Amino acid sequence: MNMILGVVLAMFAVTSMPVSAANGSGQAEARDMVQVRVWSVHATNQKTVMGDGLERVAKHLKNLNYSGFELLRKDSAGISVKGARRFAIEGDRTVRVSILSQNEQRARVRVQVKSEEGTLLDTTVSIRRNGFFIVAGPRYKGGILVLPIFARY
Amino acid sequence: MSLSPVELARLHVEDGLMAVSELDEESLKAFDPDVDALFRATVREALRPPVSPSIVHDVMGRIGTVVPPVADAVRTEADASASVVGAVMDRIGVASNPGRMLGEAIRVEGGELDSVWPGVAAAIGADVGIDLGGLLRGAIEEESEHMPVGWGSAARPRWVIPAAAGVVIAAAAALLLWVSSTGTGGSSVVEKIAEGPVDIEALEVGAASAVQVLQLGEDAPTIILIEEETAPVDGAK
Repeated sequence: MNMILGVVLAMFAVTSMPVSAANGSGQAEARDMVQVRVWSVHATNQKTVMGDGLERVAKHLKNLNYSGFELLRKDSAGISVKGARRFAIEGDRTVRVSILSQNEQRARVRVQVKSEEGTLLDTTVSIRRNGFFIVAGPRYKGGILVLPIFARY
Repeated sequence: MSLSPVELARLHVEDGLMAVSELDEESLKAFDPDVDALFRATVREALRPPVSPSIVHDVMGRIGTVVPPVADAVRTEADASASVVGAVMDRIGVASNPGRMLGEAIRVEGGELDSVWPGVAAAIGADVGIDLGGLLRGAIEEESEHMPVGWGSAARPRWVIPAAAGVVIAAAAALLLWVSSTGTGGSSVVEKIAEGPVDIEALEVGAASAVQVLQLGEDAPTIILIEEETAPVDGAK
């Protein structure tokens, strides 16, 4: 009986820690921070498999005219409002993500894809909370790079 | 009997009291110093006794080796009831242990030494009567953060062990959940992605590129497709 009571108390203490951490100053800090994730996926017709780790976006990738998809890397960073972060991706390209603003529903994000030749894309989108969109097209090893960009907060 | 000057000078030369160069002409004509020296050497050689052969080895070989009975003589002369050392010490008038006497002599010679601690204590500003041992023990315990352990003396509450086990289990479960949520493969399990289009507020592409915006359903994410002119890229289906 005592052991059960101890387990219950401990579980309550452990599970309540994130809740308490989200309250107070931590809540305000988390509200101003957007967790941005940039996946680098290699799409090619030389393969016919969907790589591991792409289950969440597989049905959307299949809309592209490629038969094989491989997850090359995952980059992520917490970016505060008015802040920016540059991610170096495959093919000597960079993705610069800036958080312009955010509210309970959406976040305004500016995405700049650049290569050695210059800017490939410069767009500002409004992403719903915990949503994502896809930038695709930069050439890479006989295929293209597909970049799902997530904004979680 | 009296000697003439020539005879006196001749004796002086023979005895070494006068050099030949100091002789006058009359003496030099009366005798020859070299002849006298040769005569003296001849007489000395004639009077030298002949070398006598040593008879020591022959005598010792005849009588053999003899060991002086010194030890037997000492034992015979000494009192059977007393040791030789005792007899010697009695003879020289010393009754006690000479080693102890030597130590006492050194101590007497050195005298009484005063403690240097009062001087040291005064120099470092410490109290002369301070307990140095206790001070050192306290410092060591403080440095090592020593915590005295009373084995079996303190009564442990009965609920401590089950509660501690519960905490450990809960912590392990929470850690497992946290690890699975932060793993590359676990993100799809824990996180929920809101699917749907994005609102594009601005869109610019490079001079060497074209762009397509694909929206393939109400809940599908927006796809911004860049088409680099240098290498045509297959678009969406």
